[in-house]
Amino acid sequence: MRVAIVNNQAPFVRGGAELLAEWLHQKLEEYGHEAEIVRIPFQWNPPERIIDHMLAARLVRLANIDRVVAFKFPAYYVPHEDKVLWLLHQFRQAYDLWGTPFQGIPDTSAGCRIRNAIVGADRRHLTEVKRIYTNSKIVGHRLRLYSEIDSEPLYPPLLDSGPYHCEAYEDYFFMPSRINALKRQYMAVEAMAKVSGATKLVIAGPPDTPGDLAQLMDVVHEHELESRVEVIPRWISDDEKLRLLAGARGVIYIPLGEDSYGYVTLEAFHARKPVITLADSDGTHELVRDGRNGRIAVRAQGLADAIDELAGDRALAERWGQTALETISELDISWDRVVRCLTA
Amino acid sequence: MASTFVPFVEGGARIIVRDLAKAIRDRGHEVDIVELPFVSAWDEMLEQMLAIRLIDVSSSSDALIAIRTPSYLLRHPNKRLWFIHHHRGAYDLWGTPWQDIPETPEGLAVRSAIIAADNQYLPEAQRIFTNSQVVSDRLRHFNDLDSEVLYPPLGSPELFSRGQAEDYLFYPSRILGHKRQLLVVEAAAQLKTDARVVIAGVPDDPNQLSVLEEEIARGGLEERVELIPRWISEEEKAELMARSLGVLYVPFLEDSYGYVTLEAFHAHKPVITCSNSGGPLEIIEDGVNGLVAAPDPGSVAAAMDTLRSDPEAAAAMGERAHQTLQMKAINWDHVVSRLLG
Repeated sequence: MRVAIVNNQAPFVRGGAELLAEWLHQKLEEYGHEAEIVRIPFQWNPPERIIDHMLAARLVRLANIDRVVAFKFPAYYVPHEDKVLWLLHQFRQAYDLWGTPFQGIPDTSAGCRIRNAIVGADRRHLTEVKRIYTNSKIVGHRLRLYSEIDSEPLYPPLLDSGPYHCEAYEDYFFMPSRINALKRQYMAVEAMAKVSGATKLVIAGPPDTPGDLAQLMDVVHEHELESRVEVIPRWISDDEKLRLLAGARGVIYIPLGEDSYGYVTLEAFHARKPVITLADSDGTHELVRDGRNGRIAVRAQGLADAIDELAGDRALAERWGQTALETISELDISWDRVVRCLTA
Repeated sequence: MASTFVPFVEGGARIIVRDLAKAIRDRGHEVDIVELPFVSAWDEMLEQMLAIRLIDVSSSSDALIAIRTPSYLLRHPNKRLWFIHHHRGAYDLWGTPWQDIPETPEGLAVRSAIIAADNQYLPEAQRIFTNSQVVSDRLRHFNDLDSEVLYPPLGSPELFSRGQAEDYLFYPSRILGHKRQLLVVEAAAQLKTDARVVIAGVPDDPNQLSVLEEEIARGGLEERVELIPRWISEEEKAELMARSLGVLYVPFLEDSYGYVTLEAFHAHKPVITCSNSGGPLEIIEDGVNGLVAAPDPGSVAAAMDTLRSDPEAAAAMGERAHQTLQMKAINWDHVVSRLLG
């Protein structure tokens, strides 16, 4: 079938949604479908523009296509008789971020009208689709809560899980991701200061800003952890990442309030590693089960306890790692399922 | 960069967009492409035009280059157009069998709105460039606008190089009625020298392929005409071109000169075209860098015989063909510096 993957576009910005669109494109073709990515620009500043772009999406015509798979507001308004959503998120500023510092839309009467228009359009137009899948339970819960629409989670797999493997459970924990305040590498370092054994921590990823790196290094120096915390402040190659994953005792992934489980968790599970996450990391809990394939810890002390627990018991790490791998098949996180759902 | 496209259709505009993006990046700039879907059905055009007008990409870039119509509707304080054609059904094809808007009150209103939008919003651009003199003439004639011709260069010209000429003329192109491969087969039947013809390309129109095959069988031309009715790789095409005596490009009334012509010129080969082929005539000069034949089998055969009977003259025309690229400034340095200048 001919599938149009409909996504938003912010010129010159590439994030997770762009990556997912490209992966889906590649997989649909591997499974014998034809696919094209259609990107509709979205500009939300000033807030009046939001309305313009909602209308623009309604006026776009998609011909020569059997199935639309749409990801995001407002591109998901594009009219098509055979439309399925793989919803990454609604416009959060009008929903769960309303009333927070990330609200974006002003609290004026004009701002409220814009918010009402978004809420109204979602309720009206998201019911005209064939099916709605979400990339996480949280997104599905919000859709139920705010728009009273049902959906089903469809977890995004890794593009290619083949190279992920486990070689050993050595005495270090691995923490791969961009370095910034929301990913909270600093908390892992603080936990390391409370850890009783000699285990090590390897942090790898490009810092968002030089300031992010400087703050992290300050915490390392403050606790004199230079010999036990290694920071690799750059993009690491796939080979490097695979090797560091393959040898780790476990993986630490503790972002603040994520919507989705994050590819880091999935990568760790494919490499048969337990994942230590935090109670307020949210999305990671869809995969991490406390005491079965990892730990859901509370604060730096809880993190330190979890590190000690796994550092002191290699067999435990191995058992949890095995369960982690089984979690992926249990939840059927696979392109087989994604392609089947989105083209059914 | 902005353009429009029809999903799953690989048109010339998409090639220009990709090639230009690469050329601009190669020169150290950052480029992103806003490529909007657009259906040219007359009764759905106005709402899609409004959609494009509503989309705001003005704050993310220093300059916007709009390519396929009507992407020029995007607002931007520093907008340049590389305009490759109008919605021709409302302009030069109006009143011909290719007019794609009905002459009903609704159709006439849509046509007027298209023309009005062009007249109102095309001049928003700081500069307007076109891909051919034909398109510039139409902008002048229909919209009273001046523009500058910027000939689109090849994406990868380095693939094409000169080789030792053999005894055949090469016609690489999609097999389609208006590309007139049939005229070439009919011409082959009238050759007086031992020149051969190699025709290669995807049969977009399967009927046209059967017509060609029948004509070859009917004339007993199996030795004269080699038909390769499939997609050939760029490397295969370059190889066949390098060893050819010259290249044939004889479409009916094309707007632009066609990439085939450029490929031939990069390979130092003369090109045979027809007096009603349109765009190719902008760069092919009869007896200088190619031959312009009347659109009948006898004239095309005579042109092929000319190249076969005097290989030295053919080679000299090939050299001048290559020089034409320089004289007409058909290169990315020129295109990028004009578009961003």
